[in-house]
Amino acid sequence: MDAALDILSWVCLVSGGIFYVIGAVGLIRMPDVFTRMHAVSVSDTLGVVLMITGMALQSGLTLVTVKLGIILLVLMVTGPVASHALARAALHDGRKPLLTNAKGELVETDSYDISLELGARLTSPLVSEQVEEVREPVEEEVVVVTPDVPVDTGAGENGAGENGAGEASSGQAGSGEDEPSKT
Amino acid sequence: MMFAVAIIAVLIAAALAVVRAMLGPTAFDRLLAANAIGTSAIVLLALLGFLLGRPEFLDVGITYALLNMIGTLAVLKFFRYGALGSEGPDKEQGL
Repeated sequence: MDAALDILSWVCLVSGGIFYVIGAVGLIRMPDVFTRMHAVSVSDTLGVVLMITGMALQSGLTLVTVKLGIILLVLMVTGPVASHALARAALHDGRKPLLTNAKGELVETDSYDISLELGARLTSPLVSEQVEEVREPVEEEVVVVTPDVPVDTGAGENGAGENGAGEASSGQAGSGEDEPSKT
Repeated sequence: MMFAVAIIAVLIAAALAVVRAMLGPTAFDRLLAANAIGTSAIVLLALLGFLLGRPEFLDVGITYALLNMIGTLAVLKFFRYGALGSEGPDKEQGL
């Protein structure tokens, strides 16, 4: 029984240490305040819980375990509160989270300003960008199609007809615009 | 023995957090690293109490856990409002 408890607390302490070091390495290597907070939360939750579980397995049902439980409770309550306050303060200061754009580059994105303003101001620029992206390929396709017609026929009648129609329509449009000025 | 291994891991993590606290470009990075150092100090105290056979260290750990969050929130409030506790010149004059 003691050997099993020893093995269990070995596993808990060693895996807790591994998670702790992983969180610290993330704290060094991550590029941003918010991603660093994300990395530290690993060691604040899993590392602490596993280490205190390993120590509680060694101490058994005594007052020491109760104190360990109090430490765990306090850390579990205060850690997220401190992280939340830190993230709010960073956003309030004007820090923008780094997110990947369409090209895969890390950019400080303004449209993901999540905590302060969720609403129409966030969605409207995204919709206008999508409409512009849809319009541009259609114009390119039209430009590609028209030069093929004179090359295939050789006579150029279709092209001339289309040009004449275009001029006529433009002339009508021009006369339509001029009529109110005359009358 | 197992506590010694865990203590070494926590010490490595605390050293990396100290590096971030010295490198950190913004104040929030330093504050995050300070919070991580405080948490690892609590765990280190508990582990040291088990390693040395003196469980009284756990009480010190509880005190550190309570002080850690208060310190972080106080520094954050200072960064946000530029003062601790006072709510402007009008109320100070009223007092």
